[in-house]
Amino acid sequence: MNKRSSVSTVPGTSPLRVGFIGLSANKGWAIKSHYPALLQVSSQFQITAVLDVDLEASKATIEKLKLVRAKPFEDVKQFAQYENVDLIVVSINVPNFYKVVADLFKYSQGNASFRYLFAEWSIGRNLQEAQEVYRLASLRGIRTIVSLQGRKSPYVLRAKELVSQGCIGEINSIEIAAIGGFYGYERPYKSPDYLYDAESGVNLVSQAFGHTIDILQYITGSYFSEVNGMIFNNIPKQRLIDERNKSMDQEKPKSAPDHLLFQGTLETGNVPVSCSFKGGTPVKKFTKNLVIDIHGTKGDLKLEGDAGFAEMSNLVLYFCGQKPDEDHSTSSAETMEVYHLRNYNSIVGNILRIYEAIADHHFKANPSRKLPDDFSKQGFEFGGFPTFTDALVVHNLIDVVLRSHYQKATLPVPKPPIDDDGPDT
Amino acid sequence: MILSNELTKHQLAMSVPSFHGAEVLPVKLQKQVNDVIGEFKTAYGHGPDFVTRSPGRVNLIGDHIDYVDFSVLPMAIDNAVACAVRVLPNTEIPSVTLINSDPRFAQRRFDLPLDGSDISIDPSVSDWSNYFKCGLLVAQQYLKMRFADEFTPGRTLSGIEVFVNGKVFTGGGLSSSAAFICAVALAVIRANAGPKFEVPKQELTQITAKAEHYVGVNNGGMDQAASVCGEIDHALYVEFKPELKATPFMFPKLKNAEVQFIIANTMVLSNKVETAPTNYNLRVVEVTVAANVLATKYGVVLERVGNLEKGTLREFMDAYHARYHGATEAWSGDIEEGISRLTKMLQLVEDTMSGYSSGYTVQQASEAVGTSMQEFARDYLTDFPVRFQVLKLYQRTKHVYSEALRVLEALKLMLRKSFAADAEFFDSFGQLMNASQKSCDELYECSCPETDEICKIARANGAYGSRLTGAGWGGCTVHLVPRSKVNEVTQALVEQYYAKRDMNGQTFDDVILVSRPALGSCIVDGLG
Repeated sequence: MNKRSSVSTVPGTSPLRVGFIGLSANKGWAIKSHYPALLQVSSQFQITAVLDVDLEASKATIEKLKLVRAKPFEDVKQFAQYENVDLIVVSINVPNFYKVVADLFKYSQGNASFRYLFAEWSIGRNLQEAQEVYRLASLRGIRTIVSLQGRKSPYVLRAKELVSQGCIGEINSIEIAAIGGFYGYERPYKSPDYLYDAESGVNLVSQAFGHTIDILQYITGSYFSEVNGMIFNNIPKQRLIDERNKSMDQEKPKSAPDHLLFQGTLETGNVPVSCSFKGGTPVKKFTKNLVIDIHGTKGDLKLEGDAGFAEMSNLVLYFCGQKPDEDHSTSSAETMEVYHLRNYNSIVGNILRIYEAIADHHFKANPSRKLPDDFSKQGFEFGGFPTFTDALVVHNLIDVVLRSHYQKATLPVPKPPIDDDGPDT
Repeated sequence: MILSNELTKHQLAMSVPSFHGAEVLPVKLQKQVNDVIGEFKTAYGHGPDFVTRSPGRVNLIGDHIDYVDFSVLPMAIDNAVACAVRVLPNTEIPSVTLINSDPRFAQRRFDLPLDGSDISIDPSVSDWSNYFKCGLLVAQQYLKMRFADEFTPGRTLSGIEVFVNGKVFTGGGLSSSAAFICAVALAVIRANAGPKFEVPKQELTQITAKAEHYVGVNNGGMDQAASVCGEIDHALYVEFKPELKATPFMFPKLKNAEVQFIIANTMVLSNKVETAPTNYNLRVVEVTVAANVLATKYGVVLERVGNLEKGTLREFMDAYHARYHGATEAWSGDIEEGISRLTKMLQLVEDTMSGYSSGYTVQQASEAVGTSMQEFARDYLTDFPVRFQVLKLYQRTKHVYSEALRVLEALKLMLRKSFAADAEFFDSFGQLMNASQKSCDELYECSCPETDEICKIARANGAYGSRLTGAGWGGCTVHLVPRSKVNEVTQALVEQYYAKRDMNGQTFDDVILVSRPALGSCIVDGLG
């Protein structure tokens, strides 16, 4: 249990000033996740700037959300030079991400207050773009955070705890099945086209697979050594449906994948991992839409979800194995655990925990979870938060999966293209 | 919820009492209220508008049976949680600031959603502000229902500054969490509905009864009923079926002695939330599964009531009597009828479960309720996190039915007009308490060595009955003592128990309370 009663959340110094790119009062992801999370940590974070493509939109958001301390912007250059910002949050479409972030770095030179950049996953359309973003961030010398927020899910953390305490023994094998959501036979007519364009870099592989496989590596404490991927586009045209899920007798083309078969081995223990990612509708009728099934020598652990997105759904964790404390001798019976939090809001909660981790670090509020000042990635640590370095590891893995598909070959996972020193030195 | 006047001559107030200014308060309450007003001023630089206060409780008998709808006998105690509150003008962004006099609870500040939507509570984290949010959330839902015209969708609550002064041991089994939640819910209602609105005790109890479910504790409604409906010099008979009902009554008037209860803290911290998967919530699961094992065995169907919406042991008792004894009505609460039915239940428990005294594995439990292991896990284990090796259905069920029986016997004693000798009351009531302790220890396994030790010392030095109170696994103990023996028992506990322990700067007065039944929730207004 994460005990926080004594952790101060009202800092002696002023709160972190947040500049937001991609917060709109009316639409998008940030208003559903980042904004309600920030309300709960308003003593530590304060929105002081909002950037939107036109000034009226920025102003409207500020007015509607009563962000009395926030200044509206429409120009990245002025926004980047605004000194009243410590942390910039970027929550925009991935295809636009590179350009915005590159400008941000270019124009913010000399702006000493800008110290943290919090970006949505993924940090580029492909490995090359992500590498460049990572390089620019390193040059700019700021601390980075990426919202691989599955790492903050209480279910993922509980699973990681059980695995790391030896409750399932050595891992023997793993199966994953998930559903990507948008890539079935139907798609909502309002859904933006870039989601279905293979070039945009936002698809089944980058999103559903990227988040889920990062969670798996985090739980097991191991990266992959060898992988093999097969990517399908068996549904080149999708039927459009309206708000009430009724067919509109129209079709649109789709170049993004609608199925991924992935298999690989974990570096630690040469563990076989077998994954099948289904594109979307129709959903499975006799199986949960998300299953991570981990089999060990002394026990089993399974995560299940009704929605396919492990990073933002309320899951159920099943465990059967050794007792999660030191004493294994008192009883021969196996321990059974079912972990489910009925009222947990995972869309807000997982993001909130990233903000809490940033605050704990910045204000040095939580003595039990202190990060070294020079940490460059979260890796497999319980505390802290995922950084661009962690993001690059996932980008690198996705890149091998794509190459494996094109080359029709099983490939070793090369070392991710990261400077050993990390982006913060 | 019903607040019943049928067992007392004293005319009960139906709304939470409101005192105008601290000086008109009952003397016992004045110090804490003045303290919290002073602390508020120091912290915020100005005074509060009002103070809400809600006491802890001690349960005299009837432990771990409220969540299966059997009646209990608690009383409110002098120790309470007080919240001093200032309402922020509506021109500001609605935010909540929380400061606590106890440094273990760090300051908190958060904003309220502008669209008036519910605040979210993260039950995987143990944070004191979560309890505040529970009270806030149920109060908000209440305001939306009670004042539907004003609290329309989109209207947010007023921001508040709060200073909390808690004099109920936390993790002490005296229900500091319920006292806190009731004080907060009352404060939020007062802050938003204004000073003219008289808060009905019945409604405050109703809305707070299940508030703790939001932080992941699957509790019953005893603590909230006791905290809200407490009356000076009255203990409470709290019933859950056919409706949530609290009936204040006075202790019997004895010839030469006065009934006193001593509360002694084991100082073993027992946090219901943090240990819930193996302790509190697991017990709730065990008794729910047990009800269904019995129902399956005797071919009756349970109504989907209770904390897991899977039926309760009380529900089974009704269903069994309906099918086999032609009972057309569920048990009304009649004492003699209850004793006879509960005795029958204890027989059925022996017949059905005594062969499984070492516990049911998931496989055995699934078979006993006639489902697959998958269905069993989905139906019984996914409401709250739980962890176990076996489910001890036999022991848990035996405890529940026998403890419910003891409550009825205890109530009979409390309501008796006369006793041949004072000792008759003390002996009989004490024996019930001692039997309850034995059952909690051996059958429900919610005692601990420190509790056993304190009970032993108290009994050896003049207590007639000694038992744990609250959830157990540490926390407090309660002892039935004639007034003349209070000093003797207290002294013995000090010398034989507390002297051996590191008191962490606490005095003996902090860990031993001699409390008469105290006043429930109240508001002190007119301060701003």
